[in-house]
Amino acid sequence: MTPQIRTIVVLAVEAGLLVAMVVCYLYFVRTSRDFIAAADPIPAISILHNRPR
Amino acid sequence: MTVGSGVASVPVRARFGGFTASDVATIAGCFVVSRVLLTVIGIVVLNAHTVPFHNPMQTHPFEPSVPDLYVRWDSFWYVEIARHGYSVLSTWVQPGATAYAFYPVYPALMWAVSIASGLSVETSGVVVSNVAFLAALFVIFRLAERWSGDKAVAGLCVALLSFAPESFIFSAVYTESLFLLLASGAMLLHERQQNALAGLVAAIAAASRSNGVLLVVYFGLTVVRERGLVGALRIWQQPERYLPIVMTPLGLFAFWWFAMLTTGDAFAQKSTVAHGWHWVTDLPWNNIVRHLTGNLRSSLLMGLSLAAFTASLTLLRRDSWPLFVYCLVNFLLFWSGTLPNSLLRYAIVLFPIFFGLSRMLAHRIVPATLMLLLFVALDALLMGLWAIGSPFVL
Repeated sequence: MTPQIRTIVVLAVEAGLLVAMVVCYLYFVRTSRDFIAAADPIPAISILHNRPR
Repeated sequence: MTVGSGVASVPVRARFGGFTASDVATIAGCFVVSRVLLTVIGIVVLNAHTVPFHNPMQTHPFEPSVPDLYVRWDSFWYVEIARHGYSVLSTWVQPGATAYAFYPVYPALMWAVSIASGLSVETSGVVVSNVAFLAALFVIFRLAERWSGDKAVAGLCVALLSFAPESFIFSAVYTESLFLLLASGAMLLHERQQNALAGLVAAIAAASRSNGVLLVVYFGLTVVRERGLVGALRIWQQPERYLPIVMTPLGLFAFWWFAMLTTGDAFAQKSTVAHGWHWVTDLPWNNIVRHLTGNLRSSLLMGLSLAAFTASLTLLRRDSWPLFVYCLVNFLLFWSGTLPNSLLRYAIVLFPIFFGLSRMLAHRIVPATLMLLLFVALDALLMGLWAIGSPFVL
């Protein structure tokens, strides 16, 4: 492997890892839900059903 | 130095992987003397103390012996993870607190050693911690010698680290000694231009403690120190030098993926420490003032943390400023937590501080001796508090 090709391969690996980490982070931020809060949900109460008649 | 007088004599250094017999004696001596002294103090205090330490997991009655002496507080979480893996369940005494607060590398090693040796997971944890600490002392000796060119500095550095206040944590079922080995190992490999290996070790460090990912700061600034700011931006020139910077966060991402796949929350660690330990963040300077003006315990812990930071100022020199900035960003992370617990424990994994102190004191016998005696006295006092389960030492 020539030095030029070696440089290109290493730069490509580094760029690939960086892009993968950014994509993963954005995916985590978008889809993660606080698992402690999710395990203890606040029951939804319908205002309409409790409306005084 | 050579053995024998023949022409084909073998250098003594070569027999110990580059360490002379004197180096090995210094490092092993610091390790053995400090561990034996601390263990004896702990067992004597436990025998004299009328109220035994309460074992919150009720796994077995606690005794004044090894490994029980070194299983306290968070150790129970590591024991649980090594025994049963991660669980989303929390105990009724601490709602919201789950095993996801703790990084996986150390309990995975406990489990592996326990399986391979047949020892209990508690004993395996103590074995992992002590082996990692001894190995870390060798690596740090080599690093300190390389950075200073002076064996006296390296020797004093491992002595100060062995007797640092709360250094008994390096023998306990905690991650500190493993992190010390991984962080110092990554730095040594980086110094030797073994970039991919340095990145791999740093990635494992990032999966063992939350501040592991901050090694990228050291790697990045070391490149700046080597090449200058403009030279560091030319990443196409020797791009391998940047591999550790890119690889270090992989350990953290691996933990995030594991949490995502098992809980649906990649940031489960952050979620559980907020709910279970009420660990939230604030600006570091706000927390410094809050802790210093709080109760005796919080002001003492913050004071000791500030003293450690002051000691890190000894690294502010042309050849070691990246080490200072590495310590600084770690302190900013530690001080961003609104709880003062464990501030001293967090600080002692920043081994460059001990290098800075050693470089300043190595050829000044009286100040060096006084510093070492102060460390031994504080370490012994804190060991006594640790043994009886005092919440001062978490």
